[in-house]
Amino acid sequence: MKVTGTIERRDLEGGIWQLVADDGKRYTLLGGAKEMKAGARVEVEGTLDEGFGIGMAGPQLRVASVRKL
Amino acid sequence: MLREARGLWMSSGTLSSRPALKERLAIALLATAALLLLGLAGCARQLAPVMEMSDEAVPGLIEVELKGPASLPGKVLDQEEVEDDEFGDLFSRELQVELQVDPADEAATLAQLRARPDVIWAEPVTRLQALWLPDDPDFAKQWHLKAAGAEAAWDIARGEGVTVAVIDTGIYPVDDLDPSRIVKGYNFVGRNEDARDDHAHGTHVAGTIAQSTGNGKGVAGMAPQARLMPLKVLTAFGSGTSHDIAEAIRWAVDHGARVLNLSLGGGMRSLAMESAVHYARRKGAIVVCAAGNSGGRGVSFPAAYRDAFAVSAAGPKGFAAPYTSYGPQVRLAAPGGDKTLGEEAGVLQQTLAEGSTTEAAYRWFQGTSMAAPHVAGAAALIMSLGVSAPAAVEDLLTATARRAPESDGEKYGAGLLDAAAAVRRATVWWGLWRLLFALGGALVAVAHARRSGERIKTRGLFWAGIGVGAGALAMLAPLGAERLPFLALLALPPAAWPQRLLGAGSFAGYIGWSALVPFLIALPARAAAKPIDNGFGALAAGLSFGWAGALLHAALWRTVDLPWMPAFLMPLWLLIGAVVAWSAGRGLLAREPLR
Repeated sequence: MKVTGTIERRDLEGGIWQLVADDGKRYTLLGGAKEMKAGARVEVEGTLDEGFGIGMAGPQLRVASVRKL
Repeated sequence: MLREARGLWMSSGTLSSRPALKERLAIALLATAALLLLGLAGCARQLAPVMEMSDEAVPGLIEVELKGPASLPGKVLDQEEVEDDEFGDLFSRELQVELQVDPADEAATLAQLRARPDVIWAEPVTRLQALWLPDDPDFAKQWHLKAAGAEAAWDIARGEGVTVAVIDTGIYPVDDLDPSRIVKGYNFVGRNEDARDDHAHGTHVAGTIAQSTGNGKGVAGMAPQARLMPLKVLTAFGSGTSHDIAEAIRWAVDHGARVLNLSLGGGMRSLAMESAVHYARRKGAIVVCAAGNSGGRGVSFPAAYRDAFAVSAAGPKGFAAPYTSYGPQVRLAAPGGDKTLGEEAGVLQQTLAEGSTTEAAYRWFQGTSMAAPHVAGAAALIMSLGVSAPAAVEDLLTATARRAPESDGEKYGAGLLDAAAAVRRATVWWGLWRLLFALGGALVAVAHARRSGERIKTRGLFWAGIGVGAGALAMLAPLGAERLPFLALLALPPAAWPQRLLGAGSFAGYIGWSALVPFLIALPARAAAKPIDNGFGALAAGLSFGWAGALLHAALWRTVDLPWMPAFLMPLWLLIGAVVAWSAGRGLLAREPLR
């Protein structure tokens, strides 16, 4: 799936990356940390991972690629 | 010869001068009250420094309060301005200075200082030892351990003999974790035995539970003597599957863990995980889970399962953290940090440095993941006191919780974690109940024997046996049961010793939590014509009644869990044990020898 939104660095559990989608939904991003920049507008392509994790703050999105907008 | 002489003494008319049962009862009650008061005094020590057990002067250190800056002898180690005037004014602030002087001249220097007009007072610096204060240099920054009641709890329990499974990203053997206390774990992600952390989350959580404490390095943890079992179920990204987590839960319990910490969650219900959590609790483990970080209503799974113990997060002032999830499943709130109040309002432990998989660093984290291990550590402290039933541990934690600053059961559950209050209840108050049950049983037996024509003379050893058997010395635990290793065992009744020494999952638990020990001791004592008249017989009788009291308490409070024993049969088993132990004691009061 592709999601467009803004990247946010949250100081939770030692730091997690989240994507605040344009529809207001929040995804915890798994992987791709090197391309992440807080506040950047991006389009993230990846797969939805409804599994478990440390974030506990919304569904997880397994990142395949990040495209800056 | 001795026995004849004693017989002579008894028959020579002094019998009537021995105190009557009523007086002895009064003495016993007074002794009980004294024990209780001493124990409570121990509890109150952190409030009343006047009652310190020992404060010793530190050689060569002097504390002086001055009216203002002035030259002083020796080396100034530390100084701060204070406001000690009755009418505090900005222009005359006092100065408190810590001085280092030659220990040989300390007395002379003190006298000199006291004679100076600009010195308000001077005194030797003393080290207060009311509480065991760990020497870990950054312990002072761990507001969260203090808020959780760790300091006062450490005088009573430190988690010996309890294994806590950390089901997380693994545990990296950083230098402020004692490697000898990390037991074998498993890596469910890589399917191998290398359960080292490659993320930092699991190591931080493990630190809160059992960071090396009192080792002069770094920081402290809730249950310093507990063992850690690393189970890696989350990848380097911090995510994992319901399958791996469920498998790890079962693995943990099957390998001896009695506290499970799950600082993880997700939004989907998983029957595999739910049944694993149920299995763990049925096998005698408490499953502590983080409520979630959504900042809204809705507790994540596994915390939301019925058999899990969901923990929400609070900040340094006790208010629920803004990020914490909440809901009716929350059982307790514990410190998880609130960095809106600053970086140091997080939880400080040693873990992996940011971005590294080998280098260690002390880092401030916040999250419900940080709250859960405070509770897991407290549960380990309680279990090390011989409380092996998870429901009893949960009840102790919630019943002794501190009041939350707001009345919101969904955010705080029963309130804020207070580990000290929980271990106090399990020692001081439960010790009192066991003693009262034991004394009651003994008095009934003595009265019963007397009614059937026996002449029963009780003696000191009889009463001592009752106290020991009932584990009454546990009432003194707050005075510092943890100062010496053998003293630690006195914080729990002898009935709980086999389980504590050999593990809660061991069948040795049946040795203690049954009438076996008093029965085996009573057997040889029965050889005497009148067992209660000799020291051994009197002690054996007392021990039997004491043991019966401990078993009765365990049956009524449901504190014990034994392997393979269904929970509903447990109280019955203990009650039968109490009756048999009581009968063993009663048998030693009777005249007729064993046929």
